[in-house]
Amino acid sequence: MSPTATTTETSETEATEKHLPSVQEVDESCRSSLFILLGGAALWLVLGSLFGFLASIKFHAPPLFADVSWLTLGRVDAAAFNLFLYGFAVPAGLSVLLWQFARLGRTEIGLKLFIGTGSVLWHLGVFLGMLAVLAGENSGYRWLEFPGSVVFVLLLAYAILGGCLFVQFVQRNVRPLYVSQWFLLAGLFWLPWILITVYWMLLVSPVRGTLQSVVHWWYGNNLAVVALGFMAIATLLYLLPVISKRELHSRWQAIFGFWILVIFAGWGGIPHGSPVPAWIPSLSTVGTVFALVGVAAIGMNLHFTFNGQYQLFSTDIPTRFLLVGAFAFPVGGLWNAVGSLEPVTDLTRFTLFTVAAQKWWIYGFVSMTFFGAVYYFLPKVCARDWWKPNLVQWHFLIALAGLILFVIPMAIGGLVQGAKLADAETLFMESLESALMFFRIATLGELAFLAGHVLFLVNVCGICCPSCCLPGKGKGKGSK
Amino acid sequence: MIRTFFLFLGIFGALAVSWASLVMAPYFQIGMHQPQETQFGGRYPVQMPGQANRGQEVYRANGCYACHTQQVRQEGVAYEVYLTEAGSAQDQLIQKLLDMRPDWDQAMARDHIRNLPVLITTTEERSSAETIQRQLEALGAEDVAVRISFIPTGSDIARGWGGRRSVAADFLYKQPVMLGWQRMGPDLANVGARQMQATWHYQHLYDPQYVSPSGSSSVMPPYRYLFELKEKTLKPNPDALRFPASYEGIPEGYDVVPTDEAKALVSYLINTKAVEGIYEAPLPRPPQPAREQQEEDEAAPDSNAGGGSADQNSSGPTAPASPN
Repeated sequence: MSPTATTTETSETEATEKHLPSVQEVDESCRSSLFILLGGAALWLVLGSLFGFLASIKFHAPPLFADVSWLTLGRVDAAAFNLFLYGFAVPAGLSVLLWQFARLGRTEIGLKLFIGTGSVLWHLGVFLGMLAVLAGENSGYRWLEFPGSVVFVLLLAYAILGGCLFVQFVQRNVRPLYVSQWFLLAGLFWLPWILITVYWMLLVSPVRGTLQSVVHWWYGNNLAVVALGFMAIATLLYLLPVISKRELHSRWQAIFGFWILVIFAGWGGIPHGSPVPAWIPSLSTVGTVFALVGVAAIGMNLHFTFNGQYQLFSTDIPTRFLLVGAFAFPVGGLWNAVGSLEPVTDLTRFTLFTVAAQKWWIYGFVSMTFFGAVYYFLPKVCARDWWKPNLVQWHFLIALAGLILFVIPMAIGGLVQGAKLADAETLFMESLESALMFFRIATLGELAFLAGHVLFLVNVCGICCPSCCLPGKGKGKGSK
Repeated sequence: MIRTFFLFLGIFGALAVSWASLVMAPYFQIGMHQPQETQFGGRYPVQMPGQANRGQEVYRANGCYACHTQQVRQEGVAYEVYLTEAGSAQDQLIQKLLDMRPDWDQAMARDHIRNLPVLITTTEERSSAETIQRQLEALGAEDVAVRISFIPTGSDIARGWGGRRSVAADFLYKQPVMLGWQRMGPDLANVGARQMQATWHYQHLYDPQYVSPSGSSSVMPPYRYLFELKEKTLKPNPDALRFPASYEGIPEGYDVVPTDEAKALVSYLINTKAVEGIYEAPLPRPPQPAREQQEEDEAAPDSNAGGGSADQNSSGPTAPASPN
């Protein structure tokens, strides 16, 4: 099954025989579902970045808002990260998944009421979770700070949303599967599994001692690398061939990469030197290094597919986002693998370096890919042009600037900080001061992220609101 | 349909490998840990007092774990060589000691021999330690005794953040386990062994920039909402924070009094320490003079625990090192 076939119309007779909806019909059927998911996602993204910027500023001016318990650094930082993950990353991932299931299966979206309900319920859960964290009811686990009652709401929402998406997949018109659907299916299924595991073992019936940390680290890695990462990989595997108007370079390479990743990618995340039995971090490192083989396979596949079409970077804005994501993917995989090795962990653990690594993967790879996909399909789905196409371009520039301003200083600062922490003769204060020097630049990066996300919200609302509220008007060149 | 089913099964199986190996297997290994005996035969860990447990909730609710870690790392091991019995041929022994310790002179060496045990050297290599032991015990016709003790080393330990590495047993009663991931502030695994004064903690929470050893460079936010301003009365408030007269952070005519949350948090911090030696992370202690050691060996519970000794004649250290 070829991805490019999903964008071209089949012949008249074929279409009539199989009653396949047209590409345009499929895209437009996604409109309301995507708007609910993405509109909320964009809003949470702005709010999350605002909190993130505030947290970052507080390191340079600790007394800022310090008298207000709701805005204390620990809570604001937790809210920022979790809003980003559950407010933006998961809904954006699910919207990208929804659209790809519709396109690849050539199925119009059905069960819109249920999808809408699930999405609204998810956003409600995120809202309640944010309030809970700011009120001090956080769980204490960075990757899931929402308390158990809120996670229950999220699980309920996912049961509805994920269930509908699975039904969408099962009832697809085009039966043969493209490798993206394998990745999406894996991500769709694995997200609730890990969420339920962490819900049960950490929130409802907490396990004892450092087993909590093992489960927590396992969950964080599986959320970032497997659940969200697979959704992003699927997007690249689908959109890069479509945009370059070529077939995927090698189907077998993609399948090989899939199986390697699906087996090994979930093992990572447990740092060396933790107060847990030593085999656990060792196994984790082995998995991360093996997963690199899968990352390389997928990365090479994408490169050979797109090779010769890189000039599209300068002409097409969604492509820019996707290419940044496609670049960040193998670099991130390598970074994770090298970062998990014991000598590197000994130096970089507890420093800004780990923050940089995480940001590179979740933002540089996953989020940029999602942005690219959203900017690609929204004009088609809404059958309009962007309200102000310039703003899409500005978003890219600002997002890229933010990524560079954040990741590079944090990585270097982390190495310097780690070197000083490792030397017991150096005062702790000196390690902090050298870290703060680089942190100042990273705060500018956070500001850039915030600005870019405001533009994203404006762009999403600017295209979706008129198309939903004023249907039939302003039909632009959106659908190709 | 069938193909998709098998695909799904394959995906589930492959993903479940990580679940089985990193969630279920550790669950069976450390998920049902019970408290254990310390090197002394006491029980470890013990629950913190109730107020400290409430303080743990305050620590969690304010996200303290975002900037502070609570785990001490160990990078390696060093071997300490102690002379515990000088024997009869002391001149020969002193000569040998002066070779090994150029910084000693005759008088110092004799003085050390009168006040045993004495640390001769610390080495990273076990073989070097054993060589020294052999060389010294070869003198004096069997009545020279040398013991080797091993100590954990690492930058965290050298910084005074703990006497030994953190292990799983330390967190058995913590809920949630807040190991932390960043060190924007010092490690707090043994803060209760370092900063034992509640007064210091209250002042630090109220104004970190004023009180912290890092001074104004500290990035810790002030937690003023954990305190109340109460008007001064004729009767002085025993809970009021006392600052030097030059301190300008308190309005005129008011006292700063900690709330229950602040008291609980400080109680938690003071009780956060891991100063017991246990089987998997013994605490080093210099050996006692040989005769006392022998009595101790006979009295102490038999343990193959690698307590700080690399020599079959000696047994492990039996007392925790003094708090750092």
